[in-house]
Amino acid sequence: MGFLVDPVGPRALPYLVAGIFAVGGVSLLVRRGPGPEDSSAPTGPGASFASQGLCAGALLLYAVSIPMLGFLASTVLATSALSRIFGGRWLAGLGVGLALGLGLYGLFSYGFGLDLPPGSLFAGGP
Amino acid sequence: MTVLGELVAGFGVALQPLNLLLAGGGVALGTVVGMLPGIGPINAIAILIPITFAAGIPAESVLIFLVGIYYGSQYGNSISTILINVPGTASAVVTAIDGYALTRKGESERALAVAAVASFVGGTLSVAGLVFFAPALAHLAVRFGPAEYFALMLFALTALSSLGGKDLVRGLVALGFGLFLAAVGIDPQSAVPRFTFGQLGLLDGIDFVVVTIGLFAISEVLLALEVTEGVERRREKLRRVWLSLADLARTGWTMVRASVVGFVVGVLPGAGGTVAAFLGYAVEEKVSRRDGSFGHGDIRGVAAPESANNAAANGSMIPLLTLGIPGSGTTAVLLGALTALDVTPGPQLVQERPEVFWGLVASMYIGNLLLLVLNLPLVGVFARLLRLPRWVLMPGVAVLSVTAVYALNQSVFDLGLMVAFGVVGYVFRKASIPLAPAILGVVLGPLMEKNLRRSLALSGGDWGVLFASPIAVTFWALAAGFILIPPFVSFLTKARSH
Repeated sequence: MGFLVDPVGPRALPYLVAGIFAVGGVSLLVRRGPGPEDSSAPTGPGASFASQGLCAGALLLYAVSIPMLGFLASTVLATSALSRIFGGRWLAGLGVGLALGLGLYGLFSYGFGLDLPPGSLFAGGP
Repeated sequence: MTVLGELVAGFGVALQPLNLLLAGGGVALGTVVGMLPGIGPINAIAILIPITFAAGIPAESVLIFLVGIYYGSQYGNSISTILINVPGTASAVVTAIDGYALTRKGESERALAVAAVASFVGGTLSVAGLVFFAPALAHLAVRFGPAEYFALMLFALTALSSLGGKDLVRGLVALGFGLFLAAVGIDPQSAVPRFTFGQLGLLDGIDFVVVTIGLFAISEVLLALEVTEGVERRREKLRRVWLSLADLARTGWTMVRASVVGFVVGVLPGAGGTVAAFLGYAVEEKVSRRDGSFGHGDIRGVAAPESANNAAANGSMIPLLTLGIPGSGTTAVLLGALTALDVTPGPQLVQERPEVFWGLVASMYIGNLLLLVLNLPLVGVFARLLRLPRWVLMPGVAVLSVTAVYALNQSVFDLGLMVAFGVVGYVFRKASIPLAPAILGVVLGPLMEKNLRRSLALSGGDWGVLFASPIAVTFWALAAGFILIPPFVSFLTKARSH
């Protein structure tokens, strides 16, 4: 349809988004007090913020480490760390990490024939 | 070819060894993720999309597997509900009332057997409904042009935003967020970059798999850190799970009625399994003439929601396959998977890709039978998985999420986005903002925009084309109803209480 004109253009969708946010924002402002179902939201102790931050941080570190350390090593490390954050023992977490890492690595390389990164540290290049 | 001939050909596809294996694996995995609180079918399907794509198997086989997880999860969700009073997914909440009451009476085996048979009845009857109604709807949908599709998608989006949560405004905010994400990247028609903030990684847009895994799976992991493991774990061994003839006679008609209710609710956009289960339960409570047994461990109170939510899951495949319109978060993810597999759902699917449509339908028959065979003798094995500690389960979900997103494009940037969406999803959950409309916005947004622009290009810029046909006007009216009625009703109830 290259020969047809495009009377709507690329602006319509962003404007629609802006409109929805404007309507939503104003109605949330106009409404007094918290919504009726706020109490149904799962609430927990504020103390979990620290572990949640750690968890998100561990995931980001995991992401960055995959090209460097390789999939296998970074998965074993990340799983052990996450396991610890969820209250598991170090050694048990390491066991889970080894099982998951080796299992997934084996599935991708031998099952699907796809190479997950071996790690630039070991292979000498990305 | 007649419908019967097509169905027989479909069984030819579904009975191929690989497809049979994937159907069995899909429903078993579905049972597990449906049962485990915190891991729903939507997480499992989103994580498995890149992994099954990496495996390089044909489109119909991928679909048989992913859809198997979807309806299999409707079986599994009753197991944890009945045994430990923790619904695996929201659609099993009603099952908890009578299901857990039966467990406290020491009759968990009876409840589990009724749930499995009711799921089987609901699943099988609704697949029959699918065979009957899907080709008819596809026939009707051939007449849909871009203007009708635009109005239909608008209706689907408003219906889910309105019915999906308890609050329309929060649903709309989630929808807006999804549409915003849909706009990110180079606009395919004008080549103008939108919301890319100079980031090269955003030029191609954001993959819906990254959004879904972040919003659902990663936020679930973050949320799990604040739930204390206080649920009482039952250690007693299950005896044989088998439905007696007397119980079958007592629940037979309940299952049939609830299946019909669930199927109808499932076909409609927005409502889904949870509403179906509630309605199915409510109907049976009425039919039982309120003899007082409902709520105190009546097996009909288990049968009704379980038949209804399974029928709803299969019913929702009709608009997904014949119109390309998802009515829920999970079906939106399935639509994304179909598109990525280069299978265009819609009226042409039935004719042009019969191996996909009829192969899937036939495999759903087989899958439901496999579920019954798996669930009656093996429910004790599945239930043992409920003892899996969270320090194994949650890191497992996180690592599978990372692996899946990495397998998509080998992009660390995508992984960063995934974690960011995880935080957003967590904030949304805390603020009671539903997540499903966001996914629907991400998946339907580009299609909606394409249809709007195509219809206006065809009409030469005349906006009247959007309201030109009775079909389009009907969808506009329905969409308006879903936006306007909830505030009106809450205004009326408020006025009455003052």
